[in-house]
Amino acid sequence: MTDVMGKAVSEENTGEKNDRRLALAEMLNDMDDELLAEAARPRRNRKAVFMRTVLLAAVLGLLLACSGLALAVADLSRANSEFYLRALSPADLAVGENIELAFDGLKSDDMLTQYVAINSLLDAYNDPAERKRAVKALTPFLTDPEPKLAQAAAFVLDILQEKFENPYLDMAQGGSPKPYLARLSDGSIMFADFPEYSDYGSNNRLWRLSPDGDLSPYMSFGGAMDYIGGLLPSPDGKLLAVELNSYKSSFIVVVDVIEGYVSPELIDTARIRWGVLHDRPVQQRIDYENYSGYSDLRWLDNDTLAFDGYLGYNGAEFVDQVAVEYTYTHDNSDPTQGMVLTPLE
Amino acid sequence: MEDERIIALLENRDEAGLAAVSRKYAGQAGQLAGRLLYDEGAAAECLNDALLALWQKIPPEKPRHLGAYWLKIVRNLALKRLRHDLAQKRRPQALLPLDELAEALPAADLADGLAAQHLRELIERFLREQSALNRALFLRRYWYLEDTAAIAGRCGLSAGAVEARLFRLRQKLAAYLQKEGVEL
Repeated sequence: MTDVMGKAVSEENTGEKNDRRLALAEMLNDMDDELLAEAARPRRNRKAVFMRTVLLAAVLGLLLACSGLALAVADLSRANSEFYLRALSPADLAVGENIELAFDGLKSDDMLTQYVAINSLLDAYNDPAERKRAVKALTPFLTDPEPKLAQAAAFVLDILQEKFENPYLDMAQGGSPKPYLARLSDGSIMFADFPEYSDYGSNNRLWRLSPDGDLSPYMSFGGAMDYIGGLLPSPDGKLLAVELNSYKSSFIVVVDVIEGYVSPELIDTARIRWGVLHDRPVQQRIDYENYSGYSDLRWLDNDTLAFDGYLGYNGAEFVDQVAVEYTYTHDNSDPTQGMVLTPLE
Repeated sequence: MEDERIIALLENRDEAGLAAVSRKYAGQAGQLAGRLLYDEGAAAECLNDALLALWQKIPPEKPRHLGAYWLKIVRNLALKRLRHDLAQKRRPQALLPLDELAEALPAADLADGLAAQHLRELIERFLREQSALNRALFLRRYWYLEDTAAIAGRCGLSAGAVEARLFRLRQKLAAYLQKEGVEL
């Protein structure tokens, strides 16, 4: 066979192979959603983790007698849980109470411990030596196969290395995710820690990097305001709209960081005012879940925030769609002052 | 945000639903499109097209697993683009993992829609009889087209162990298909 003929046959074979691969890929494309969703969830090989844990328990058992068993049981129960985060318990957050515990936590086999440890290293910011150490320890996590660990490392490194590029904006391809970092006109930078730690948003803590370079937790939120879902500074950078979520409801507050004031929570305030005017049952649930939400949050000017509210009454028995505009002023005596409600078409 | 709330936003024709889909699933979808297309720009374009397709499909459709549903759209669009690229002799390596699987499957013409559907249903039935870990390994390799090292990291196994498990799974699949009357 000549070289030319040989090449032609080879190209023909390659073409056939590609057709076959494509047909196979297309055949598999309609695979059952449930199977695909299950496969997409992060998992650890429980048997391997179990074997490692049993070995660990045996060694600890020799060294620590009875206490070894308790450690192994706790480790096994954690290792067998899926890396799905809804809310962090005080025990989870204990890793972050001491910076040495956080450094140790990076080496853990448990992804949740690693995740909390990565985020807790924000505390290294104010100490140059610890910060340098944290940057070195976190850098390998940028390529971790577990996306939540890689993203957490990218976010914390962004702060520790003083880039403040808000890497979450770049990570979500093809969309416009909400920013978790905002620059204010006084030179301070605000951000929510643990971005994307659950399906709903960040950990419930807002941090402030002051103009003189000191990083400290600024505020957190109560009631059902469990997760910070996004930060939206006013056009002049003097006010900050904070989006908050729970499992069932959404909330918005305006924080006047520079003057040190905060607005009433806007969605529930709108819900009660609209409900009173339109004869809706406006009782408050004991867990503060109001089954209300919003979309299209935006600043109309430096002081006026607007959004489309979905205001729920009696659980979600009635949901009224209302356009809300709220003009912030820190010396108002009536929570609804500055609020204009109009029905959405 | 919960999938139910995202779907409700899409049903209300609220574009915030698309932003939420993107925020929640674009990472996974981008990686999948990237593995097929090896081109960041083409992958981003594919994701945008998939968001538009999702907007057109919901409503009336109401998927039970929004993430998997959207990833399927992304994968399908990426495969269409790849078909064109392969014809131009570009990106021949994208589907190489499927060569392993092809050995366990019949040589029948998969372009025949009914035969392909029957085969897919048999594979689904086979997978449901396997452990959750084996199902994940199989789908991560042959649907999500991940390399074995990435799967190993994700599942807490060594790359060798992943390959060995996949090898045994393919053997079991071939035996299962034969038992079901499929000629290999």
